[in-house]
Amino acid sequence: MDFRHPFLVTAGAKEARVAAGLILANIAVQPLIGSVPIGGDDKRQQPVLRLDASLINEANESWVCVEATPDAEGNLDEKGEASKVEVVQSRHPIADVGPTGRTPLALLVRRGTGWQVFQIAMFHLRYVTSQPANGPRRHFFL
Amino acid sequence: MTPDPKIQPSRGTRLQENSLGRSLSMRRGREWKHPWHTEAIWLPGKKAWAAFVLAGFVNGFAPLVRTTAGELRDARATFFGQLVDARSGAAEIAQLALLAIGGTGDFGGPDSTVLDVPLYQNPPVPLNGFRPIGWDGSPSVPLFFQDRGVGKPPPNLQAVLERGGKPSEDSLTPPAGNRLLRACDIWVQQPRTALTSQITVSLSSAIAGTSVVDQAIGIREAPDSQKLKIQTGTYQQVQNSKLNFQGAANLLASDYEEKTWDEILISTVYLLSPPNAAPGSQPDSTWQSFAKQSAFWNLSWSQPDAKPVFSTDIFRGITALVGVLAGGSGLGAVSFITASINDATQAAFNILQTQSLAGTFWTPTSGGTTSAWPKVAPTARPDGIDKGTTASAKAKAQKADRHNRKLDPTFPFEGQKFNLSLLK
Repeated sequence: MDFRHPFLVTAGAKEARVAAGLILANIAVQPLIGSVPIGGDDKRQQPVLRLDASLINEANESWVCVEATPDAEGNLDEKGEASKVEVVQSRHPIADVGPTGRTPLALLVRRGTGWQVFQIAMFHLRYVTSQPANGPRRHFFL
Repeated sequence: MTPDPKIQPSRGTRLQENSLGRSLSMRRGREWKHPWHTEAIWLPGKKAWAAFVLAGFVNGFAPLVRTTAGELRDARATFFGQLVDARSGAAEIAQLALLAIGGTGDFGGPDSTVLDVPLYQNPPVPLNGFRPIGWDGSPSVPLFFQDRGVGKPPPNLQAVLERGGKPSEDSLTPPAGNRLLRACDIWVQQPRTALTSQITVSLSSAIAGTSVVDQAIGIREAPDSQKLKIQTGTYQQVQNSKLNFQGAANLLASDYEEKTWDEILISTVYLLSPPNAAPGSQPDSTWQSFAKQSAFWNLSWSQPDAKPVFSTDIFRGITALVGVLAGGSGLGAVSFITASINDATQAAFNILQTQSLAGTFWTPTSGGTTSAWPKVAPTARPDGIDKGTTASAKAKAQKADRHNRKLDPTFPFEGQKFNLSLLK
């Protein structure tokens, strides 16, 4: 049985695609690749994420992640002017402190010239932040 | 459509109906299995049971499994050898052979070479420390195994032994057909920063009959050698819970340190003996394996921020004299005067509870994490019949019964709830 779920990642040798999925915050948004929602839209096809073979750690691991940079109040805005939610490739799967939060969607393991994909996110993601009085913002993907 | 009497599924085949007709497949379809799905396998070379755990992730990282090159090769050969049967085609055999010789990793070197292998490379998880359940062990036999012939230990045997008496022959003889049961838990260990506390108590020179208690709160980082890893044995749930007051009873007598890790249970492997196995016997290839899954989804993990200690945050009814922030790994030092050791212990305990750095795991689902029946609030009805509550209780009982008679729940699986206190 195939389990077709949000944020399902498929990867070829040089690029990856991410199935439509939502980041649920004060608004619900699809992360972007470039300027296109990951699932595509009425006018544009599903975008591809160019994979960089140099973005691997010592264990040949790399991650397809979603990154959220909220506005000063910790919110996302509809037009993406004061905030940003995008899918990126990263050497490290998690960033939970600072202006930008990151969570993994899939692990990519370099095998020869290709990638082996291990899915991590299987649901839409709820996104919340906390702002301690004396510290940097924390990001949580629930 | 009239059933075709010539097409009948048999062992190793599957019959499916669809809009185009019926199809008979010679091998089982590939079913989706959830992360952490566990199965046990007998390793003939090592003469031991091991588990295969489907890759699961914590914060995007796969836990490591400590094993040896010899075990890896033995498991590979056994596992892939089982996939080849009389119906396997040449291409399939060639593909499996490629995987068997290490297509997903280089496991060369002598058999004794110790390796830490990430879970996504499917290493065999050595199962150590099986605990006995049933006739020769714990009386807590799951209903699932009671239905399969696992008898409980004789009820009076322990009492007789404790009194120094000699048990009768009858009480030592298992019932005919009795089966033995062994269990081994598999869990994930996540390194973390831990809280430390040092307390000194001295007599107060200012107020007679009272003591001054100094409590220094600090943090300790997990050593670099401590990795996200798989552990096996008997999982102690209390290890992962917050400090309780019983455990804090000797706080004043010694330093207190939290553990530098959090843990979560993944699964339990059960081995069921053939009927009439001799009590105390060790599991071998004739035993049957079962796995009870406890984790079903990839996990996120986080721990609270270490906060400086402010005396006014913590003490209520006890006089706090000083609240000094310390540098380095220290979070703070507090001193207070108390006339009662109980008060001092309670105050120290409160500090540790408030400051605990115990982390929590959760399943990122964007919403609910349970498939349990929703609670129905009792409603008063003039005729005295509360249909809602009755139906709810009945459904709950039926669900519990189904759960007990099966080892695993069905989809949708339960997840770990997010701890809202992390947002404070």
